[in-house]
Amino acid sequence: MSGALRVVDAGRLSAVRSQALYHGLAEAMVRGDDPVLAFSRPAEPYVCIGYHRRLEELELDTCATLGLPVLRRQIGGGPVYLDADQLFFALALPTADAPAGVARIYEALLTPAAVALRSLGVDAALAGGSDIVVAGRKVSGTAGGQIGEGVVVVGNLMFAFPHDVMVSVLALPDAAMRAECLALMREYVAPLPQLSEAALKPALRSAYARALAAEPRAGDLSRRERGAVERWEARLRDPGWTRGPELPPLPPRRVVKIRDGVWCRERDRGQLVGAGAR
Amino acid sequence: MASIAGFELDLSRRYAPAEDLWLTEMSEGVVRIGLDPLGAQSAGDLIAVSFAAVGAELAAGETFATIEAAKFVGPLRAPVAGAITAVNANAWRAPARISADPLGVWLVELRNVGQDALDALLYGEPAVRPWFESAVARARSEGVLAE
Repeated sequence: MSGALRVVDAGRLSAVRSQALYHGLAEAMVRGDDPVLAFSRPAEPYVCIGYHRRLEELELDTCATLGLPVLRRQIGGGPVYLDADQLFFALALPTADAPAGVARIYEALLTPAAVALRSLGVDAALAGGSDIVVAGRKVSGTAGGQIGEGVVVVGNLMFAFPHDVMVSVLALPDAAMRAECLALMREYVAPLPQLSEAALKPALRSAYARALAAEPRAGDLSRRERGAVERWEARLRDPGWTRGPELPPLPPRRVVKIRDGVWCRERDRGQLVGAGAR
Repeated sequence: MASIAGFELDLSRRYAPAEDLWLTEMSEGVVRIGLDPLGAQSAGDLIAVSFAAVGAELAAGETFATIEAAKFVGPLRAPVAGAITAVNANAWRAPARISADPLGVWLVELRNVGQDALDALLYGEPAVRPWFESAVARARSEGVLAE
């Protein structure tokens, strides 16, 4: 073992803290820090949107009716529904220690999650760069980013997933596309009800420790990290932040990514596109 | 233009190796900045770019743009201090162009850039070629680029 892997089990967190946690961990990273593996579960449901996505992609009235806060994250990807039936994992490390290139970052930092699932008898694999799939079905939403001098890759593992709620919060042009999206999501996005948090956390801890050649040690947030998490909580609550950066208009035809290689398109809805196609 | 390690580089520009950026001087103290070909390849296919506000005064190392590829979001940091006078709306509207033609697509224009800061960047074939050959060799050995 060449170093330590600090494992922070943050337990159940408010919606905003469940996002602020990994933002703060990454932002507080400095060169020479040990990597940190963090676990959390949101205590309440919410919708989370990637940094470069538009609020117009969401049915904000539906989110309000369902009592779902909308939070924008500083990492990538599209809108997702998150709730207490999901275990979040995040791996943060100093940028200087991260592999060069986005593809290698995902390969290095998400393969251990697939390895952990395989150790529990689930035949998981990394597909399309950053999706974790089992028999062609996505079982973990993932994304990553560089925040400050830290790189972070995050994922969720779903014990249950309300596909209908997920689709209801998406702004879609008509009922036909909504039905098509729901059908594709049910076909290609799958929870893992046979797994438990109690089994997953040690499996992930072991897999990441092996991959990083590091000794896993339970730990807590440092004062610097707590400060960064609190600053991120304030930022994530700021309506100006939630509105997001200035982006070009949405393309004329609505497209929803279901998993890597599977898209629901406004005109040729439901058509399967070859893996990796954009 | 010169072919170096399989990439075309414009040797009339300055290069910032730590940030994988190029800079070209438009007039005294005014530069345009873009992603160098190695940075573009390492980032992957860009699907979004957003910019700091026009008028923002940046210190060296501050973020002038944020890019996204493959669900990964990262900052582009100014290698020199200056004030943003313009951002490239074409890059903003179609970020795939940055990936396809990194030398042909500038990202931001800065003014009030000090000559000392520019002089600290790599310029001219004797400086640029060995750096770029070494950086590409390292990227290939690490698997960032295909052999």
